[in-house]
Amino acid sequence: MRALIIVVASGLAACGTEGGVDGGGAHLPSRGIAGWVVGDALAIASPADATLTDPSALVVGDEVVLYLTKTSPDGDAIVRTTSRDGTTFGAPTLLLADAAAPSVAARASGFWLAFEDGAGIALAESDDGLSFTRVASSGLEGLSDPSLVVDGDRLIVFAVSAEGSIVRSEAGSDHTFSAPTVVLAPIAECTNAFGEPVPCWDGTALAGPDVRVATTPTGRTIWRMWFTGRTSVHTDLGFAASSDGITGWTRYAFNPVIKQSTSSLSPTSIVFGADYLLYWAVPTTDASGIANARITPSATLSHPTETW
Amino acid sequence: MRVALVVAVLVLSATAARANPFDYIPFGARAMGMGGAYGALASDYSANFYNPAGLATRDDLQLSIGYTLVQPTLTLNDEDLDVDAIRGFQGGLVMPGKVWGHRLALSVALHLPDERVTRLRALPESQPRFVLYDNHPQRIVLTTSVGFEVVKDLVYVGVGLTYLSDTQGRLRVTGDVDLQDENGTTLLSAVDVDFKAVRYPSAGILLTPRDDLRIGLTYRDEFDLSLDIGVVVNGDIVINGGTPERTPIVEGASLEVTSKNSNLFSPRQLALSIAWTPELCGLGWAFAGELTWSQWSRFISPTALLGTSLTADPLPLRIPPNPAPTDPRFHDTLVPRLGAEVKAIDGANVDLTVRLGSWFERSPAPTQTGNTNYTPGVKLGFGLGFTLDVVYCSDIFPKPLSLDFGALLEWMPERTHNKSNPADPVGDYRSAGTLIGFTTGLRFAF
Repeated sequence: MRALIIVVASGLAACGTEGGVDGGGAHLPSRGIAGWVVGDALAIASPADATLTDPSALVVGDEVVLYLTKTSPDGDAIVRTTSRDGTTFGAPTLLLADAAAPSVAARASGFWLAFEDGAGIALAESDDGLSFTRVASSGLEGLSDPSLVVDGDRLIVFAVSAEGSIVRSEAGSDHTFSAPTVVLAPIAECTNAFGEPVPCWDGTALAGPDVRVATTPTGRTIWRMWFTGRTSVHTDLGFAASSDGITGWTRYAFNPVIKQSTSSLSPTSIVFGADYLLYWAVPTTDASGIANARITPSATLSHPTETW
Repeated sequence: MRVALVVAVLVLSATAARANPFDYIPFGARAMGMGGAYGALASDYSANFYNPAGLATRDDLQLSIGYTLVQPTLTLNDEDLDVDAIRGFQGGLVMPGKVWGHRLALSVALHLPDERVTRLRALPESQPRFVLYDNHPQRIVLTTSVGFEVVKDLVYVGVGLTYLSDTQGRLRVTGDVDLQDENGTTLLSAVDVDFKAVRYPSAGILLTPRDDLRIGLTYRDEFDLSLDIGVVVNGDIVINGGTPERTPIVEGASLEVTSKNSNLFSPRQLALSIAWTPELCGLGWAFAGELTWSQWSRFISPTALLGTSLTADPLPLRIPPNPAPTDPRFHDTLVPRLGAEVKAIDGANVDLTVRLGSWFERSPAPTQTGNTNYTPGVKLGFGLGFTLDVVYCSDIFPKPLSLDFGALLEWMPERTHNKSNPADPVGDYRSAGTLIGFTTGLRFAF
């Protein structure tokens, strides 16, 4: 009997097939933090003596709109360019002169723009996203690299303080901003895999926050932040998140997420169709200086599970 | 009788023990139709799992063969994880006899998956998976049992053993590694893999105080299959290897990487079952209930514990230690099951029995708010089925031929998992699922 069982078992096992994608490993949740596939630098036409930096991405309809700082001998200006696929962008058009580091957020009708105007953070608004009108100064002086979040009537600005921390300030419908409070600060010392103290990847300063308010698959609100971390040697990109946008900002355990041979600055991330897209600036001499990466659904990765 | 002796030898030669897919789907078509409330009724091959004592209530030799297929649709955030189906041949043999005037029955039962005999797998603990379905049912089950009538027509006892094998293996590599020239590298390898037999016991008692009342108690021991594999490299790191100018840089270097993990855990179980088999309205009925306690609190993380050791002095090389897997913090469960069947047609040549059953199981896993992503949910199961007994007397089949069919629907309502760490790599998710399947089989009595 035992021999019979063994013979039958062997025969049937040999006829069998391996089933499933890793037997349960298909369509695993994808929340757009890791797993980026880095593409070529964007081919955005710009004058030879100009560089493009500080990308701020927004999805408007079926287009990706990229707001950028254009630095040329004429000074800094904010420009805008669009793409149907997130990779191929048209020639940028001028939005605001004497302005830099744009962050655009959609409101119920129209758009808000936060930017650097030399003295601090300034605001502008627009009905169509093409023509912006400056409004009264935010009063947020001494800050840089704004990231704007619109929450109903509230405007919330995340920016970088002179100390290299990321701060938060918010304003109501009167556009009077509260005193900034630190939400994320550099941490000088981390622990390596051996439990030994080592310098942190973002130990010197933080920069370039990009904050988005996302909804998770369970309906919770999560505040997502991409940011730049600096040491004396590297400039890389990392991720942090908070449940309320005010407290409990927690760094991703496997930061930095984007670590390349060149410095990486000013990340901005969007959900575009079924893909997550991440753009950032790189100090190179190529066409645009804007790098990009993408996470696409696959046999093992689901569609975006967090959306904004 | 010779076959019975072989089974007896198999039973008695076992020394230790362990479990199975029937924690997740009922074993056999009749059990499936009864919603798994079968511990007090089982006397066919499935008694090997439900209660081996029931084997001794059988008078005729019975051979069963069938097939089971259960297709899961288990989703995270509404997307199907493509978990493998539970499918394979099922069957067994029950051989009754008498010793000192008391009934004795030996039995062997087999669940033989037709895609793989057994799959051992250690995924990262952060990878979301339906941990009790993605791999646990993917294994062969071979059980041998013996049932004995202790007190005539009143008390029956049974014991059983289920077999599988642990895997322990090492790839041992020795030789020289040339830092500069790959042609100077000479390595000899040896593989040493040991598939050690493991067995887990089950035992049962069955009381029949009245002709229409059966009370059973079944114990099934805990099962945990270990997978222990590794690579051991010993040798010298040299330059100019394989030449007269061979110069050692490191003498006696060694690298050992081992991976140990627990697979296919099945909890210790105690099942109390009762069946009432009255004649009502001229029809033969069976009402059955079962309550199973499962000790899931001892669930062992299926994540591999990686061990690394490197000696390469004087080179400044080292490998960081690996953290131990997180305690899954499962908790024990109580699973109630109810089933009923009625002989709807009691004909001269054809009998038809139909049945219905249901069960409910709380999730043994807590809501997954931390690093782990084991996602079993609450389960509500329904079974239905029938048995068609055909009297087709011949020299070959002197007793009725029985065709069994059972169908199953198991529903896992949506469960939400909100992560305490907002920067968790996986993030919040919803899990849900259904399993739909059937078991069919033929029973031949002699």
